[in-house]
Amino acid sequence: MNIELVPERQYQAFNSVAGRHHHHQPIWQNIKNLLKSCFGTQSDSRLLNRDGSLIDINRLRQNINDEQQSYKKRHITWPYLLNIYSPSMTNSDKKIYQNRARIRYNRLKRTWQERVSQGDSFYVTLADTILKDVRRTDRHIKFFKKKKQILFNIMMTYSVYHPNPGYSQGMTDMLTPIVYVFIDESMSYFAFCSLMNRYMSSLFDQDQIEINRRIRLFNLILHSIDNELWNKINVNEENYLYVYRWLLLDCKREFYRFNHVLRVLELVWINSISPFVISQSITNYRSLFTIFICISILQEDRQIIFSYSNDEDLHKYFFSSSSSSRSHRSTKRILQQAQINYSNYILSQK
Amino acid sequence: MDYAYVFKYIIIGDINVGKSCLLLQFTDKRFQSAHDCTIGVEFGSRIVNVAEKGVKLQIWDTAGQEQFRSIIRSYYRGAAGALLVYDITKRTTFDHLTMWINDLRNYSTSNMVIVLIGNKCDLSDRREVQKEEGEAFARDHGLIFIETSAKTAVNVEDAFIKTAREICNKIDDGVFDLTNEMCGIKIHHKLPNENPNTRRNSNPNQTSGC
Repeated sequence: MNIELVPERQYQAFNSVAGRHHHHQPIWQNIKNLLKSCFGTQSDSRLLNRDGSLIDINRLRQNINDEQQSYKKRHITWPYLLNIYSPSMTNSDKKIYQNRARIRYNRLKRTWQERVSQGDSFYVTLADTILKDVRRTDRHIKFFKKKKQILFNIMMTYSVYHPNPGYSQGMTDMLTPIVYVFIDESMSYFAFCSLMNRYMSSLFDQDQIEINRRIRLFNLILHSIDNELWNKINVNEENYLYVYRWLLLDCKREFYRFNHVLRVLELVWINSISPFVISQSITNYRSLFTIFICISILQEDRQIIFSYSNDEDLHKYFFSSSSSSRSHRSTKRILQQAQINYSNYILSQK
Repeated sequence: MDYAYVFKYIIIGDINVGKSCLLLQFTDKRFQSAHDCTIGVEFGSRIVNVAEKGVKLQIWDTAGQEQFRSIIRSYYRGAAGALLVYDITKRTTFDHLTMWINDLRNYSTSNMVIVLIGNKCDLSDRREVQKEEGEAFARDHGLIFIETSAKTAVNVEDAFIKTAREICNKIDDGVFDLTNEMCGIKIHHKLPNENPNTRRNSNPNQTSGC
């Protein structure tokens, strides 16, 4: 049901031919780049060739890693991060893709809309649940005040055509950042499908196998990075679920500001298409970076956590619904620390 | 405020019946019309006065969606009280009560006190489940029954305190084995010289025999 066009292997191939690809550029392009660099314009921040194809994936990576640049170009970078554009697609390829996506999506949407209007109870109940969740997700962000219908349509379409796992609470949390950046309904739909397909839908599986694996991996890595902290929070069986929400939703709810959430997610996603991660067959590695963000959050709050004298304080820290407890954290510091720990880990695995 | 016992509670029931709102009304005395949906579990606590004793309630609010069922079951064990919630304006949430009761019986400790809560009683014009039906169901299954409104706070306090009172009665009757940590009740040991320093170095929630 998903028209994710780019098999991930292509990215792998692209990583290795990126250098070669560069030589094939028309000569005038090189001259232009040279002139631009002489006059000190920002040719370095350019991501696309004139025909709309991606210059090379390392530039994409650099752009994402540079916080000052990344937020301006999300409309360009996210379709690559979420794997709906392949690096070689030109502007006209993208137009064709967008048209196809719109036609396909509208057809899918019409089908369940008819069932809802016929009063089919399965669809009506599903619509009821999704509508309630769509209304409350990121309700404080002004942008979404007029986007409820789009969120609802996408979530319904996804749930109806992906009975495994089907609709699960928490999914709308992952959809809002995508719609915020893509804006277009059908493109957002396929980007969301791609994210689910890459690693997320298995985390939402009712059998809980994948999410439990992820929690275990988190425990192992935390144990190896910060044994003291691991000891402090691993008191009993109940605490096993401390980071359940963090790991299920890529820490989406653990950051206070929405633009920080976007930053966190793009870093998770750029790391999910790194050559190392793609070479691993384990699905959990696709969002390995999330585990390192969780650990950095804990390290950021280390003093607070160690000041707790009993389980109740820890329960409140991990399971309290209020957002005020997150506002003191420095997102920048957390992400820097996560990058350092992550790079060390990857080196140790090679 | 000092307290003699710690009781562990769980709040369960279908999706969107108002479980998190009940908890928030009880712990913070406020109502939030929009609230992020619960992923897994959330936690809150408050000390109340029951039969002239202070009791600390540690409450686990759980996600209502089927998908989280296997996770929240691990919280059933070791709870002394359960608030089973349905929405009086939605018949299906009442129809699912038997499923919830069976789930509780299968995964919880046998002496658990269960209170059945018909929530959203402020919306009486949209009522789909009559009060008598709730009462009858509670009677048939040996539950305490109460209708509440998390929005207007009607009976919310009562629901939590009635449960605590019933647990206290059972303690007095010797029903619970307080040496067993899984009964969901802990005796709170008061410290002779209570000051912040001694408190930090000790564990105030130790379990012990009665």
